[in-house]
Amino acid sequence: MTHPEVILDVRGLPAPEPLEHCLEALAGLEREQSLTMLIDREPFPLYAILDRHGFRHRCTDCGTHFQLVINKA
Amino acid sequence: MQRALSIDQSPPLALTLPFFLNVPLFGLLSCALAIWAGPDLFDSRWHPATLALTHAWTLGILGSAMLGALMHILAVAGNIRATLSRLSGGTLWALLTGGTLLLMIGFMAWLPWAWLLAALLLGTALTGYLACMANALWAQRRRVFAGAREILAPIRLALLFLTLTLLSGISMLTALGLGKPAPNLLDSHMLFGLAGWTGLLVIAMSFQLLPIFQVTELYPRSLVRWLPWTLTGLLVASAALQSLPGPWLPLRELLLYLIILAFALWAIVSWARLWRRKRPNADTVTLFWYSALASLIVCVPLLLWSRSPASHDTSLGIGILIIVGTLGSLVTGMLYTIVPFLLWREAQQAVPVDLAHPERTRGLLRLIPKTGHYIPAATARLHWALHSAAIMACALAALGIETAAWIAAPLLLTAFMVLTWNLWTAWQRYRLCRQALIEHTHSAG
Repeated sequence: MTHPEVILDVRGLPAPEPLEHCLEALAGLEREQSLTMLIDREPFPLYAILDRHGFRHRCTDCGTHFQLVINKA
Repeated sequence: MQRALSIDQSPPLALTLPFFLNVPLFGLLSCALAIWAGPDLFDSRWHPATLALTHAWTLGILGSAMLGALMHILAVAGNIRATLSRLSGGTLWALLTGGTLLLMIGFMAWLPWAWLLAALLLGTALTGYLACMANALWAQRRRVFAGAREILAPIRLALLFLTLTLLSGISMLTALGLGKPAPNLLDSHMLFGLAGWTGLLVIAMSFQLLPIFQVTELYPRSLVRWLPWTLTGLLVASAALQSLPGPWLPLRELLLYLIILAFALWAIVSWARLWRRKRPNADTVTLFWYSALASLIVCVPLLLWSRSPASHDTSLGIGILIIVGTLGSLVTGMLYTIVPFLLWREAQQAVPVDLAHPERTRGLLRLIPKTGHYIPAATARLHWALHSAAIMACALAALGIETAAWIAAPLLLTAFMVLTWNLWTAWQRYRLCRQALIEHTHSAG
């Protein structure tokens, strides 16, 4: 049984490592799973990639970092 | 089958890579020229070989890299895409490269026809580039990423100064080529080119790139908002005063100091941010940043010392510290980020996605080296050490130290050879990865 949520903590990593990790995780995401990414800055360029490939995303400002939740649409 | 996640819609590898490969190409060429010219090169900035070398650096190395990087960074960080086809991009690159080579030959052999032809090629290349960027910035202004709006104003100002640099350069070159008295635009040309175009562009990029790639705190909001406009005001005022007579000299001097101090302020703030960055280990790009900022900060006491009656002429030394030390370090250091990223992105986009078997896609993605693995860290650091030693040798040679004049060019040549080797290694890794992807795709199919 797969876990419904994948957590990816990329805080402290320089670009483009967060993007590398995120794309790797997205490639392995099952339909019912969601990916929660913890990141230092709001990843604007990633939104365009997610939109283009049919992923839903929701970003929350947690003060010290951002939390981005990604699901398959 | 579909392609794996397309990373962005920035210019393809074939469009921007030639611009970046001009860095080692003109680097090696300029070092060979410097070795051939010998230590006389450091006697005066008006020596034919010095003029040729200055333009090899400003157009061939810095210009090429910055034109390529701006197209790429605006797309990735700003969501603004310069719509250049491979043909028009290739033509632009060929005109820029050919024009720079002709300009160098023109200065070395003092050939008026070469100046005229260089003016035509460079004028066409840069006008085409500026028109393309202006069109993209205007047409796509509403789709800019929210976090990138702050860098658009200084980028527009930098492009405006590139236009002024081009106009002043072409005017002087055409007049020289036609045997007519050249307009007195030299100081404005240097100020617009170094402080306006490259300086403002570097500052604008740093506001985005330093926090993202070196994981530092953001720059202070007031600095981000006001520094580019203050610098622009100072540069315009300084250019306006250039043609005024002697009594205005103290005001011109004051403006020059204020421009240098504004850049020094940016350098000190950047240094402080790098020093307190979140990652304890300094990677090669961070080291290049330190070399660049240190070179810029050293210019301040050197400029003050140059005003004392006992001092040696330091203008060539300051020029070397700005062009080779600051801008050269930033541009060559940037290649260690941008080239592996472009190769990684190109490899990613070649991966076919098999929706029925996601594990196959994951397996193929695992064949692609991470961006940090395209260039070995040890040889990248070796390049940084050689490059930094070469900056010191060049600056000391320009200040009259003869021994340094003998070792400066060979040191820089070795540094560029290591850079060429590093970029070649990255390309080989990319080729091997593409080959492995093809083999695995076929065997899985």
